[in-house]
Amino acid sequence: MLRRLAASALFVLCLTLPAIAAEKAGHDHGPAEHVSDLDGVRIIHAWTRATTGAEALIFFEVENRSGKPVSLTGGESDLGASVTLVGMQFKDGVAEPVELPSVPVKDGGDLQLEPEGLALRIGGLTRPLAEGDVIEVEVAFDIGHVDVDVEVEAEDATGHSHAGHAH
Amino acid sequence: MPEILLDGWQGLSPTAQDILALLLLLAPAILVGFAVTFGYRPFLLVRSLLWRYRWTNLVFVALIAVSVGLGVGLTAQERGLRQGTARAAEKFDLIVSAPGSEITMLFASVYLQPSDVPLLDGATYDAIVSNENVSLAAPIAYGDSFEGYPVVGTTPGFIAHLSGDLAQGEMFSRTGQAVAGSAVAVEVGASFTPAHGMGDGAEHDAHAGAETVIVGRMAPTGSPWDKAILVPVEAVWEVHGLANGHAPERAEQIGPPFDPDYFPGTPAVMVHADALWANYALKSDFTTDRTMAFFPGAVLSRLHALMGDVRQIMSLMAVVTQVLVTAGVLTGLVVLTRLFSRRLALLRALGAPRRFVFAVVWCYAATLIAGGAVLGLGAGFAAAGLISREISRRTDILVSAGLAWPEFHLIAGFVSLTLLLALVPAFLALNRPVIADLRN
Repeated sequence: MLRRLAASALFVLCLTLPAIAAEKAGHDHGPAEHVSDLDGVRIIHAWTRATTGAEALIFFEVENRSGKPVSLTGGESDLGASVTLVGMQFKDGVAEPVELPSVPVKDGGDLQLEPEGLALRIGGLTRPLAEGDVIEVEVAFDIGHVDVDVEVEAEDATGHSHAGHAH
Repeated sequence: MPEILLDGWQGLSPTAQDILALLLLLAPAILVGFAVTFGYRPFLLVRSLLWRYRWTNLVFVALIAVSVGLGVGLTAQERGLRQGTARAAEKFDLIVSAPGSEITMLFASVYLQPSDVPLLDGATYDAIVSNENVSLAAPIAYGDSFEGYPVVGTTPGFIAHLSGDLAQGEMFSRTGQAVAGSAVAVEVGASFTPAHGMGDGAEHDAHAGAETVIVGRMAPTGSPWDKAILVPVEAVWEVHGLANGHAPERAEQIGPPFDPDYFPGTPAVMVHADALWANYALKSDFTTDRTMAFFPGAVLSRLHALMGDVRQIMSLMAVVTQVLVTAGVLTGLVVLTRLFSRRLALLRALGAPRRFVFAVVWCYAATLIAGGAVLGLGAGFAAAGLISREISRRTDILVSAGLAWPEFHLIAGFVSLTLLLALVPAFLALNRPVIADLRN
């Protein structure tokens, strides 16, 4: 806890300037779309957590109604140097992200990207993510790419604020 | 500049961050120490003060040590328990069961605290084992017991996955044979009759005639499975009057493949895939209307995260308790300085500078605090070890609580804070009237 406090004290020093810079750059856009569609592959309720760190994990639900199996492979974003698919390996109860090549979703199947599980990881974030922001990420499947609005939830959020709503 | 600091901090290894955090936490104590003693050597006088009031000093040191030890022991214990429960679940990659509560199934399948749950049928089990990404799928059938040890039906493949090679004896090869967990107090070669159910409600005569011989013993796993007796799943089905998973022409077979038409059902199936990505694909495949799939490690991690706030409050309470005890000790010191006020007044009268007297009193308090903290570290280590052994004995989950960076940070923060507080009695001692003290 104390190590985290020491780290937080350091972070607080540099919170304000980047946040103001981001406001000026105008990265955010209007209300987020909760569903994105790519030929019957739907991405629902994409969200991430507010952070001042260099990485963020993105979670969402994939529904494959395309009539064929598809594979989630990763993504791209202007906000970070890389967007990779990661899974969690547990060692002594601590989750360590491990890069994955791709994960298949059969036709009619669903895939959950959720905390302590599968996620897309943005590496090398160019700005802090504040609660209420909406960022755009291009999610990559073997059949193509789709732009997804990702809502930034609280730093300690465990789910999308609309989770449970039907779309 | 702040970005450079932030990047620099993030670029450090976790160990380097821990060392730097420890130094930052100790820095106020070290700086105050240098500032107070700069230009003086008060240590001979401090030593004589310590010796002169040794019994009182020992009580103060013991009080600080006990409060530090309790705080350190508690935080180390909480971490040990968290890691122990997580390690016990590590061999259980993915559990597939009938839809319901993940936590109920986690407790039943991993920690062997069974509940009444719906069974997965033969067709579902067949779909699991036929999946191309599955490298091991094993039924876990619980509900029976012997003298408090759960009797669990499974396959030889699962036993090998759980504990590797057997520590003693051989693997069961027919119904009527069993492999004992490492902590089961039944010798290899001994025989028993399982009871139906567990605990006080177990029916001891329900499986009369199902005598079973222990033919092997597993290596320790550090989990409740060390106190389980493992039998062929076929045996569990047979003693309950069900088909044994195999067609009549293969009725003697033990282990997979099972015949879906003769598969009576299992509460849970442990599924293992060689690649991590395949585990996620399997979870996706088996999250259906009829099945639920979950990662025990992830469920446990979510539980631990829920308890995270409690952990932080506990750490805070530990610090507050330590500071309160130290504040009490420092108040005692103020009283004590009245006892040796005549000696301090004599020093002043002999021409000792005020700052020298200040340094003597502060160093005296600092020695008690530092001594108490170091002793407390030892006491915490010993307490954590004792409590761990007791928890392991009671829960069968191997808990090994050792001291780690969070405890060292806790003590460093405590020492710095209380050494700053120790400036107060030093100031008070300084402001005493010299003449009046000399007359006393």
